[in-house]
Amino acid sequence: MKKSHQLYFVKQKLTVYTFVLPAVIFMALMIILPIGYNIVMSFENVDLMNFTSKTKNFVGFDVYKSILTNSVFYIALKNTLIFTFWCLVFQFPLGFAMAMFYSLKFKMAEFLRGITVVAWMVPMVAVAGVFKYMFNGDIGIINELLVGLHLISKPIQWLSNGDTAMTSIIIANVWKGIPFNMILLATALTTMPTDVYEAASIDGANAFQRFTRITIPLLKPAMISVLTLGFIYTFKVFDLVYVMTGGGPGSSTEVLSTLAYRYSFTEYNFSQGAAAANVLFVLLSLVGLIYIHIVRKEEDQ
Amino acid sequence: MKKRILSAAVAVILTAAMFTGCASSGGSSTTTSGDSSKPTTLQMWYHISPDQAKVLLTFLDEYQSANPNIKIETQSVPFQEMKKQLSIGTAAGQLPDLALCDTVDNVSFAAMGVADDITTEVNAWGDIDNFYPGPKSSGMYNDKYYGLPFYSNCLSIMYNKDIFDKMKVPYPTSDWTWSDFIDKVHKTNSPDAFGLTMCLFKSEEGTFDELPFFWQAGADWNTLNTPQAVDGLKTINDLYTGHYMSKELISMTQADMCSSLFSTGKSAMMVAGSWLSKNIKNANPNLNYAAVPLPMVDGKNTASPIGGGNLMMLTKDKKAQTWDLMKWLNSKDNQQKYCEQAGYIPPRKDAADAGEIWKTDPILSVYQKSMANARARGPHPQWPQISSAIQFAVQDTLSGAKTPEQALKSASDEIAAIKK
Repeated sequence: MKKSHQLYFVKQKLTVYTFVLPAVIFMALMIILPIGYNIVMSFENVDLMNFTSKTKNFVGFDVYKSILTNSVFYIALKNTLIFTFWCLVFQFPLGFAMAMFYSLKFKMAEFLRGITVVAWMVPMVAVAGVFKYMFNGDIGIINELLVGLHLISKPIQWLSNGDTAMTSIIIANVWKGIPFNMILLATALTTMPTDVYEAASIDGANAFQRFTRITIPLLKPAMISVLTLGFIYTFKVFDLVYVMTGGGPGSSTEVLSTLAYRYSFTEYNFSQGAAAANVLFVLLSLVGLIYIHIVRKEEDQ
Repeated sequence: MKKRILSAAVAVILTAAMFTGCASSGGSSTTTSGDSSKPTTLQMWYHISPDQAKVLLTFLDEYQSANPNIKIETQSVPFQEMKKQLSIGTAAGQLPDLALCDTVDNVSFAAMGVADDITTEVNAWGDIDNFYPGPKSSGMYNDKYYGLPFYSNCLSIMYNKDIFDKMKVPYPTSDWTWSDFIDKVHKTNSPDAFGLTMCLFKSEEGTFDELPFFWQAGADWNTLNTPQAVDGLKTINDLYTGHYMSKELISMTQADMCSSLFSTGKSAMMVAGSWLSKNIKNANPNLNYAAVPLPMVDGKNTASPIGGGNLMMLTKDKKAQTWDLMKWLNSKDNQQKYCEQAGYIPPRKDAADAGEIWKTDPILSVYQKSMANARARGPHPQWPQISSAIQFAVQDTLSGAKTPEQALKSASDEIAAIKK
């Protein structure tokens, strides 16, 4: 009796495992294998000269040393952090404000919210192309508008000037990031219990108090996940920078992902490319771990 | 219980299906030529634009109808993507038998061991002496042949005659000097049109246009730490920061700058390759323009870098068939016909001599003459890295991040660190 019982459980477990098998194999082939290959390559010094040969020499941390001693790496890291910081600073509050705005139940609110999300669905390459055109120093519409409104006296060379190129890319990314923040926070807002608000109103809480004492605490889990996702999406930016400036002028908009791409595919330094990508991977994993930690703490409370 | 077995079976089948999916996609590419009666399939990748590819495809059709036992499968790869695709193909062990690539990358692929050594075939062929020395050297690495130039091009200055007339500046002549050139850039510059347009983009296209400025000053990629190199870079920088060129050139490809600046009459002169006349004809057929060789230094026109495309053999087991196709495409007649139709200069001297177009066409004849003293970039197996260092030196200077001296110092340090 006992034995058959055990057998039953083993069988049941087996069945469960067979169900996850396709997913596990898919993950292993498509995600774990490439990442593993990348990690191995970053310790091997694979470049143009030994790319095709079967024997690759293990060089320890030499490749990491070589990229970490190059000042371009720190420029790229600094640019990535600046980019991520300013994008989040603008797109999160603006997205939040829009989510609050659309949660006021006025006519067309649903429709307008839907329209806003379209910006998020436009492919990044298309957004980058359009913004590159708008920021063009000679014929761009942004200069045209600013000069027309007498805000500036002569056109600004947005993308060909090292000081303004990053600002232009941040503006483009904020435009695309707002709807993303908005839709996730708006979804969270719709699930808020209305009775808490009603009770607060009866107790005499004004709108500001209701916002700081009820909305924000209740939205906190959603806000943390939106910020984490926003951080990850922004930190690994590639297509926007690649299309708008290609990391230039010089290396003034070089970010970690474009640096990794350049090492691998324009300079054929595959190991350096892999190492730069791994640094990006480690940094993002850290953010993920911090997120999990915060969420656990929230749940414990 | 039955249900559970059934569902487990479904899961197993799904998993198996995934594997067969992988297997069949991997298997198709490994089909090799079996017995001789079956047609051999040759795969070819090319990086040329659709207009020029159309010309190439008619040639391949002609070859296939003459050789019914050969089937050619082609794949178009964008110019910027070719290096990437070939490196991925190498890693995956899935390379075509033949590839048409940017001439400057040929040596890199030879060094990587991707391109096949074709020295024996080339020597047996006996036609190689008909090639111009510049293009010929672009396919050579360690004194061996790894590729054949299929078409060539080089740089000259194109100028807009109407702007010169309006500004009352005499047209440039082929014996002009660099000070004449700078002077004309200054004099034709106006609020309506820039004096000069050249590619300053952070890609090989930028290096291509920038090199003659270093060469005229007496510097090259391996002497970037010299005062001559600083002079060369300053020449570009003075024109750029003095508003004689559009600031946007830093982010424009050659095709972009041609269509938005020169073709629309917004620039008096343009550092340009021959292929851009095709773009001009498409964008603005009425543009009144001509071409003139690069300005003189020490009584000689400054050398132009050699551009173009090389045919590389990558095959493992179809050498004879691939070589036959390469040889056929590079015959005097075919090369002449291809370059005539696609707007290039033939790398073979006998092909260039045979074609009327390079003598009579006012634009192409200038390029044909410049080809004789054109110079290969490098050649160096690590050219992509060297070129990248040059692009950074130029862009860092133009954007004001570094002085020309500082920028060239870091570029020459970087190039010195490249393994010999």
